[in-house]
Amino acid sequence: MTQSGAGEPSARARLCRLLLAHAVELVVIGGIAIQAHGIPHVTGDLDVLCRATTWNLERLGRALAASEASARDQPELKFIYPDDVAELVAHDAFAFDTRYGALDVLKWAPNAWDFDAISRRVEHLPVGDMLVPVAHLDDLIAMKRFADRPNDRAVLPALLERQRQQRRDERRR
Amino acid sequence: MALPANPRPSKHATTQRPAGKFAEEISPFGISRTHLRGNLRETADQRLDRMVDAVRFGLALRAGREGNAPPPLNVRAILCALTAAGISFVLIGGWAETIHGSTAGTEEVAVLVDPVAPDDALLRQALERLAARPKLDRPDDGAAGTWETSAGRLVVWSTLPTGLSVATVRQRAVQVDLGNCRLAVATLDDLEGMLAGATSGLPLIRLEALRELRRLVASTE
Repeated sequence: MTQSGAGEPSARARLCRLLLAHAVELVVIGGIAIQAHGIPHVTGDLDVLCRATTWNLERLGRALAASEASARDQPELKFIYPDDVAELVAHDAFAFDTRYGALDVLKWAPNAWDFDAISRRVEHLPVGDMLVPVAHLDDLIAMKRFADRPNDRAVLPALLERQRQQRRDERRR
Repeated sequence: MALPANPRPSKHATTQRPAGKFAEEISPFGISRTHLRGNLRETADQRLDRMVDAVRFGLALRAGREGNAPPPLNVRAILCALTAAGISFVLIGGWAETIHGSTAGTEEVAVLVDPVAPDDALLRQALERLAARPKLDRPDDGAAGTWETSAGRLVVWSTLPTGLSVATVRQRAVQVDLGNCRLAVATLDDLEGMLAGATSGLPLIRLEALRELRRLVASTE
């Protein structure tokens, strides 16, 4: 993975495109979603929340195999389709490395809200000719509040300030 | 068909290390040890590229949300321009932390430069080549200057609030080869020292990521 020029899609964009092309139902959460909302919370991985249905996990498995996924800190542990779909079904959170960069997958939002509820509120943000479903700021705040680790508490004030600012902007419109 | 309702609402609620072949280990603070270990397997070059790519995607999404063109981000171009100009600078801040293997970073490039000849003049020349415009609306945090360049935002420091001298940081810096340029990067000790006063916000996350990184490095040595 090399640094692409300003006009070229990033490898993470290609990873998103691959997941969406496999019809994986997902919402981008975590650092990149927070960054999308205007807060410079920089992390190196793409975090996605996936709908936890068997058919969606099966599609996720196909996409992971196509992205040459492996365990993030153990490249020798490759994701093998279809065998490792059972891993996706059995567990809740996963950290992968792929040919397009690091990918974290959660099956459940930290606040345990239904995927449908979060999915209804997503913002579909354009990147090139793709629309990326990104979690609403209110949901990101709810997830951080619920997870409530020091890491989450540290980023919360910036998220709340951004929420106030967005609401002020909406009122002006 | 929906799976049964989540019996463990937060992946961190009952365990810091969920089971499974592809599980992620998280520190009590919330830093991913799995990603840190993954980063430590990579070269400085790879770590830089990985983070630049992720940040660029975040910036593209933000631009999509705001209806703007994404801002430029080419960290390597900034660093190589400063190196090519012959400036004796040290990379500090989020991108230095990234090069060491941290999982948290910054969008802007921060460097430490002695505000004396010949580096001051060389810096002006390099800024001209990078089509730099001074950014005036940044909070006054003691930086000598902030510029929007053709390759991203550059923050120049000439003194550090921690009391560390430029000469000391430069003397202790590690030399890192980024393929087409070689530059001095502040040590983990100095980077941690620069963040030592952080008690909240994103600097605290960066500080804790560095501490976790140091623990992992120490445990593997």
